[in-house]
Amino acid sequence: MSVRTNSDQLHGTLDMIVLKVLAEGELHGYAIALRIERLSNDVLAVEEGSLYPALYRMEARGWLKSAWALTDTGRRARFYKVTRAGRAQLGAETESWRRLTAAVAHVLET
Amino acid sequence: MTRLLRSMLARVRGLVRRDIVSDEIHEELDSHLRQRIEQYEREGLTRDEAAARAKRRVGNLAVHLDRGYDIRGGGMLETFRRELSWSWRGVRERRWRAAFVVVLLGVTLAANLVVFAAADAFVFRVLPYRAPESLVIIQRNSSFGGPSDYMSKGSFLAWREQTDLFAGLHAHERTGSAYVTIDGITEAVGAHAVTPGLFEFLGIVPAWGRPLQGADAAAGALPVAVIGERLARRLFGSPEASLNQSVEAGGTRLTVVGVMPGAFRFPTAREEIWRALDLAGWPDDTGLRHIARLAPAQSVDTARAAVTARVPAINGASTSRRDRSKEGLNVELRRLIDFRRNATASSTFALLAGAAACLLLVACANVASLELAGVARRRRVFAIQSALGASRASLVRVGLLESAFILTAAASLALGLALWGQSLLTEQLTTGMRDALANPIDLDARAFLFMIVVAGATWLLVSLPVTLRASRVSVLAGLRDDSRTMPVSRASVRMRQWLMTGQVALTVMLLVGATLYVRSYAAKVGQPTGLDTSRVMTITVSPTADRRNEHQRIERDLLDRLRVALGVESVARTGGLPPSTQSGASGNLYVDGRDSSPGRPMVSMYHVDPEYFRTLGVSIVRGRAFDASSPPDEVIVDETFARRLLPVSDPLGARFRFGRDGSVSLGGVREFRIVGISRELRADRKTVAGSGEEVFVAYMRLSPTYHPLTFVVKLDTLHRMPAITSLIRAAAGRAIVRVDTVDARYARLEGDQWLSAAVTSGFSALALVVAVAGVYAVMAFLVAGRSREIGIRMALGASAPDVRRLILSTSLRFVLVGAVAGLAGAALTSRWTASQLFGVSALDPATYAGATLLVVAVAMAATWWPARRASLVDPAVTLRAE
Repeated sequence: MSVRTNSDQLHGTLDMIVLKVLAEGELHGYAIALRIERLSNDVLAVEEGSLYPALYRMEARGWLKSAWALTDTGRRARFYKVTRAGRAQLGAETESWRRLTAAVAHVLET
Repeated sequence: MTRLLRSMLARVRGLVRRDIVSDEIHEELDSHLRQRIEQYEREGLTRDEAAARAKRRVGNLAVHLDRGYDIRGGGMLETFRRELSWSWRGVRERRWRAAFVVVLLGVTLAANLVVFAAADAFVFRVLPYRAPESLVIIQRNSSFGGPSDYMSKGSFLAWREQTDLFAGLHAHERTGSAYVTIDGITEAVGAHAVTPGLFEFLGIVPAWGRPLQGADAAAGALPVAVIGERLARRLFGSPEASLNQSVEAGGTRLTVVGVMPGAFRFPTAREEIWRALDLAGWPDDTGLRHIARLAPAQSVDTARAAVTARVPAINGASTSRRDRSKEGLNVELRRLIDFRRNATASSTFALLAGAAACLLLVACANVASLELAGVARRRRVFAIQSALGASRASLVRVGLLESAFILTAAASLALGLALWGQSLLTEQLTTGMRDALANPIDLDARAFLFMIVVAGATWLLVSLPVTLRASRVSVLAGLRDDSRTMPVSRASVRMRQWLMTGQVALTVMLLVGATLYVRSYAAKVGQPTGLDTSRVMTITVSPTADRRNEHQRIERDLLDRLRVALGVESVARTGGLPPSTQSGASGNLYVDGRDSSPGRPMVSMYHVDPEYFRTLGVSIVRGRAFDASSPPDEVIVDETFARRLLPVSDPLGARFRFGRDGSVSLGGVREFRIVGISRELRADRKTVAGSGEEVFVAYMRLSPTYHPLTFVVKLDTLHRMPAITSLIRAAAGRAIVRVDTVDARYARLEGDQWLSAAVTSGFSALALVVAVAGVYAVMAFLVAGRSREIGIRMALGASAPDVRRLILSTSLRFVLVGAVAGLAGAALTSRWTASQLFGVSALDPATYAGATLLVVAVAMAATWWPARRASLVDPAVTLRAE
């Protein structure tokens, strides 16, 4: 079953996931969507309507940098890269995510 | 910060090429869609199926594009463009008010800029050299001529050895003048010898060519010079062209090897030629001036203590008798900045800066008040803009942008005016002020920065409170207002009334200050001088160095021509001009064989010829004037001298000894006999600059060997001055001829008084006009806003005089509060003004009362029209409009 991301619900989560994916190397928008789908074993399907706004927002905040370049297939695409501020943000979000999930798990188990 | 910058950059980029953002987003989404299609095709779908599925998957591209555009700054961009056009419309809607505000702020900003440029040179940035705070001198405290930076060659060399105290010690000294002829007029340019390395020591090196080097100072070296950029341009057209040319100074041809940047001054603005000082060849008995830089480990205090401790040893070993004397030991370390600071100029310009700031505040209050009125007028516009969806922040931005437009225009006007004002001001400086300037008065980067800061502060001060008020608009109320009644909020009226009060207060302060300065100047100029200076011109001739030995011949020749010239009533020669304590020879006085210490009066001896008394109208009250056969020991003293220094004996025929050991101009200590007593000379302060010691006046005969080539000429009318001038120029040949009137020379001595009086008068006149306009505007606005209330009052039986009284008393209340506040402010600042005033107290009651009365009277006159208009309100018309 695939869970479609909803921008309101998973706002911060999508940012975190995108940052995580980009932390491993520069990617263009389509590749980011594909990578998230693969890494989540097709559980998470990123909507274009959420992905691009998230990318632009993070760029405006200085977490990402972008530049036009050619893909492997020779197509022109905009590649995104995590900045130093973005890495710091990823660290902070991962940390708070872990605490949140741990707390939720704890509640569910009792 | 970077985020703010980034978003602003995005806006600006968008503004310049608006389509870039949306094109980029479009391309990116398109690329995404195509990749999605390709993927589906790879998964086995037909091309059409893949496209359809991808489109379903990706969703509405147009919506994504719009959202992306908003986030990437495109939406802000739209808003920004709209705000820009709204604010430009706002400026246009102000019509004449916009022009008024631009001119008002332009003039006041210019005044501030000019005064700042001068204050910067005199007060804040006295030494425009590298690390000026570590520059020091070892000051010699002499009873003659005050403190100086002279030392003997011996002690200079000894102090230079004290490397634990000083990181560097350089010597410099005047070496006469260079005479240059530009456009047929010969002028003198100061030449200065400096030890090589001084430029590097000061941290400023020639902008063209090279600095002076050690080898340049060696005996037998090619005489070279570094000259100033201004001189280079005047003499050779450009700095580049002047290199390897030659200039002549003190009889030596010097080859130009370097040109200093135009702003460089050392030690004053007069010196524009610098040559290498040969320390080895410098005569042992001739003093030198010096400048030192503290070693990094030293503070001024530690170095001062060390210098005081080492003086006895260093001076004791000196070959100079003077160094070893009691007075020679009276030296102390001082910061160069303190030594060089011109106290008069500093206090003058510090106060002028305060006055300029007051003027700016008056203008700000006026503009803020005008803006508030504008807000009330434009409430409908704001309401409509609000209704169109403009946020409060957006309205604030529009308001700030409007004032930014206006202020930019005002600042540009101010720059133009300041350029003109600054040259005007420079011409008015006294000689003393000019000599103190190591820093040119110009609109440099610091002045621009000041301008930007002040304009920015003005912008915030004037527009922010007003804009914040304006943005709190209620859409319904704003739209309901129709044109028949002026919407006036109570808070805005109150704010405007307080602004009016503030303007009145500041104007009273400025007016009190200006009146005090004017009265002080008038007291100075109007006091009896003991001279009749009307129709007296002065002539000073300075022949070039090669004609030094021809003075007697030139003097003879000039006297012969002057005496027969048309309109000349009498001609006299004198040693110094004008008769003032700043031009005579000073020395110690010994009465009855005793040194009259400890009082030790300073005496200024004027060398004059027998014609002098007639020419300058100095009347002899007892005894007689000189005649052609008077022996050189005869003197004439003024009444004060006789009364104060010879109170017991009959002054006529009394003898005293006067002079100073080793003084060349006085020929040592000589004995004099009083033959006449002149009317008291009170032409200037008659105190030693800085110390306030009293100076006494005596006239001695010009000796037959002294030819100062300085003449005073009594004419039948001053219209003859040009004719006399060309006569002298033709006779004097290649010489510098300066002509003037005695009155003008005195005026320049009192130039600081004149400057303060003129500048503050200008400022306060402007402030008065602005404040009165402010009072009128506020009261007219109030009357317009209260016409309904007035109509009701009149309907209920109030008469026209009642209404007039009501309006006048409202105005009077605020004006009086302002006047009282202004008086308090003036009294508070009197402790700073007091030291600059002459013949009038800084708390002079008449001045305070007069200034207040004037402001109150003018403010009431300005209220009269609005009050009259109020009394003409027809209750029937006003109430029908309901």
